[in-house]
Amino acid sequence: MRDEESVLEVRGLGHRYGDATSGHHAIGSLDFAVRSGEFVSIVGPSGSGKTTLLRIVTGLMRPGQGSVEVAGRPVSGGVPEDVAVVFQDYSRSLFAWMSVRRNVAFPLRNARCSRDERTAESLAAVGLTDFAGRYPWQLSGGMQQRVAIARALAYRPKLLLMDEPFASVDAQTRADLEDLALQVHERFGTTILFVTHDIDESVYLSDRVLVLSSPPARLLADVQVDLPRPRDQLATRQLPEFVRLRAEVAGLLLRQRDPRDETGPAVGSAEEMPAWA
Amino acid sequence: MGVAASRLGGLDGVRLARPVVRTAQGLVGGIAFCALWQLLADRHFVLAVYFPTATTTLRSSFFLLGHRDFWVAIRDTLHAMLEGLAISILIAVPAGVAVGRSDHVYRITRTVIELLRPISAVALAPLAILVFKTGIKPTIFLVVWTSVWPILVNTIYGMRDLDPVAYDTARSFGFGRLAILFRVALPNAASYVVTGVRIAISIALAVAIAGEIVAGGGQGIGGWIGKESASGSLVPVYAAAVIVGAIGYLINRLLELVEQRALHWHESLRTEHGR
Amino acid sequence: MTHRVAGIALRSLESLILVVVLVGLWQWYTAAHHPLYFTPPGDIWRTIREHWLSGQPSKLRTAVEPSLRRVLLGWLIAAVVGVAVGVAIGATRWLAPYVDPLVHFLRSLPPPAILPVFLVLFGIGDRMKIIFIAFGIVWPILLNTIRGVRSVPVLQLETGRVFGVGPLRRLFQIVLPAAAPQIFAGLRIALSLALVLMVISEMVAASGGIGFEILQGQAAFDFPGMWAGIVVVGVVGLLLNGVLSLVEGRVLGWHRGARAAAQ
Ligand SMILES: Nc1ncnc2c1ncn2[C@@H]1O[C@H](COP(=O)(O)OP(=O)(O)O)[C@@H](O)[C@H]1O
Ligand SMILES: [Mg+2]
Repeated sequence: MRDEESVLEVRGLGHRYGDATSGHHAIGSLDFAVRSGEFVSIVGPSGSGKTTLLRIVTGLMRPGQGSVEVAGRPVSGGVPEDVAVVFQDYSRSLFAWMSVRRNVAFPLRNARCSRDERTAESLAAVGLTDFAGRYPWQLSGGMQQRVAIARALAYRPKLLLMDEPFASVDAQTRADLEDLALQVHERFGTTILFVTHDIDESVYLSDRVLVLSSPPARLLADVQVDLPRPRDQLATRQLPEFVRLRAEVAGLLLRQRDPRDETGPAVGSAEEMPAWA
Repeated sequence: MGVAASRLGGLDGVRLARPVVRTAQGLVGGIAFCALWQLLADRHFVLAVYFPTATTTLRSSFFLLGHRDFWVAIRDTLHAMLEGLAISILIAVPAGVAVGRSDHVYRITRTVIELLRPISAVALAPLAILVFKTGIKPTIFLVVWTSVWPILVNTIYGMRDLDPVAYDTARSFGFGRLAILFRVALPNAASYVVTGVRIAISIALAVAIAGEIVAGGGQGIGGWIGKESASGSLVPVYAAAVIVGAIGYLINRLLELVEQRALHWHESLRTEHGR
Repeated sequence: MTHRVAGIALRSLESLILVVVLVGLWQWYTAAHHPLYFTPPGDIWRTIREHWLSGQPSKLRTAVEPSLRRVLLGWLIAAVVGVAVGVAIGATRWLAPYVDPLVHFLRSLPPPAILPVFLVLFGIGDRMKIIFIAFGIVWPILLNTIRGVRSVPVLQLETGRVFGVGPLRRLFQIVLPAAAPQIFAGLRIALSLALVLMVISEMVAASGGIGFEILQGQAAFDFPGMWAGIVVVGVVGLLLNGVLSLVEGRVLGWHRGARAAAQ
């Protein structure tokens, strides 16, 4: 799986919070790679270290074991240049004291190219051109998340990480944002690593779905999704292949909850349970 | 928090209680400050009687604790401060409730409050001497003048900040106006009153001492400091400041505890409204 | 339209009526009973007009100007020092348990209690007053800045790091704006404390300034002069607070909006 085109390579990654006796062993051992231009989703029970993984990839924290390479360069200590993130908590990752335009332009100070142009382009890509002068708190949740996406786009990352980005918006908005993510992927050719606990969403969006076990997390399966693109909220979701893939991923996760399974306790908490449960 | 805390906390495998660790760390900070002070004072940039070392000051503070005069001064200052505060609460809370209850009264009184509030207490000291002559009374007046405003303004705000849903709920249960006042509005305002009192107290000690300096006729800490500094050495002034600071520190900390108790249920909802 | 105008007029009338009534009562009482220490508002106003606003030299120049200079310089120094040190302490998390009690102790030190120290070390001139004011009021600014910086959401700091934003821009574009509401609260408390300290330092040691004029008026049985000084202190406080509120409104407009939106 390792080839020249890998944007992200994760090798032997493990992480434990706290000490060996009382701590939480979030990630057991993970190995995977993401090729340039791929849309890869990660699903897994809550507590399986998905956020931890993303924080390690962005260089915000160091892993207990193993290594991470972004665009061929090891992530060690510093924050790699080519990575952008969209957090779940949009209301806090946007700056309330900056207009939408300035929020989007925020990462661009050091970039050589014309800032205004790129900001405008990113805002247009998420359909917020008319709201550039507003403040984030004047927008709805879905629109705020669009701003966060525009900000990440403006940065032109080689790798875009999204941590359950649509978990706290209503269903209609969520569908719109999913299609926005697909559009962005198509138009900018951005490589996307997308964390979610919604199985439908992971299958609908991705080229591959990585299924994590309950903690300490390891890779249960690397499911190839060969659904045709462009995808469509209604048509794609009705394809027999979609239904089969969804069942496959769900089955992998459900088996995690089998009491005879030695990997650990039940998946997540009630409110974190995915829609299919 | 952080590295040092956990290292201290795990000393010799013994888990020390958190407050003990905290106190120790605070002491380390205090000692570092005193060491710096000692170093600076030892260089003799200024005369030792004007800028004594930390050890001289602390030794002198210790001796002060045995001085009857000093304790009398402390007692007088605290007396002025507490009596002033009590009077302020008796004035400001009922007034705040009355003003805050009605939009009409609020609008009518707002300008007067906004005009009077910025008059700083010490500016009234000469007037206070004229009206209340000597002794403790002028100082009490100044404390009252300072303390009334934060308590009043916070009480008004607390009364006006009542959640309309709470009000409607009470009404839907058939509560009358008086019942709503006592069972909904006042409990809601209580925490704001506490905040107002805390802000008032944090300035009351300073104003009491200021009042004693300009209008106290030699009474209280202000008077005591005046007498001592006239003798040419500032060591007693530094020594007294340490003790007064410690008293102020204890009062403030105690109040923060009380306030936390009173406010725990809507910590995130409040803002402080001026002094 | 006429309704709205009438409403506004009625409300401003409402907000002024008590002021007018109180001043009127005061005027009537003092004119009728001639209490010794209480001057009729008319006389106070005449004194202000003749001695403060005009005259050679006017007290606007000899008293208000030096007082304002002391307050503003002291306050500015305290603001710069308090915010700078506050950011440094607030951003260094492990430092908290070591310095917090010390800062709280220093904040609890009533500034008037150490006024003699400043008198001896810095003389009785402007320098002493400015340093005294700055030292006395720096603590609320420092404490509020520390608190504000500590409460900046981690996610916002991390957002800055992920997008490769350097420490200086993180400070000016994330930390300071996020802490600004708390910092302004400290600045406001400091301003009113500065007025108290300005007046007391001018009463204890000065040959000019509003505090000096008030004390002078009392000592010389010039009660209209004393009252004029008190009124001027109030007006100065009102103006300074007003300006600060204006600045705050501009800088923190986003904060009020965000709070309103969150409710
Ligand atoms: N800073 C931390 N300190 C200690 N434990 C943590 C910390 N962050 C996360 N954890 C623990 O690690 C587990 C995995 O966290 P996370 O990566 O957020 O999982 P996920 O995103 O998959 O839900 C959580 O259940 C939490 O208990
Ligand atoms: Mg997570």
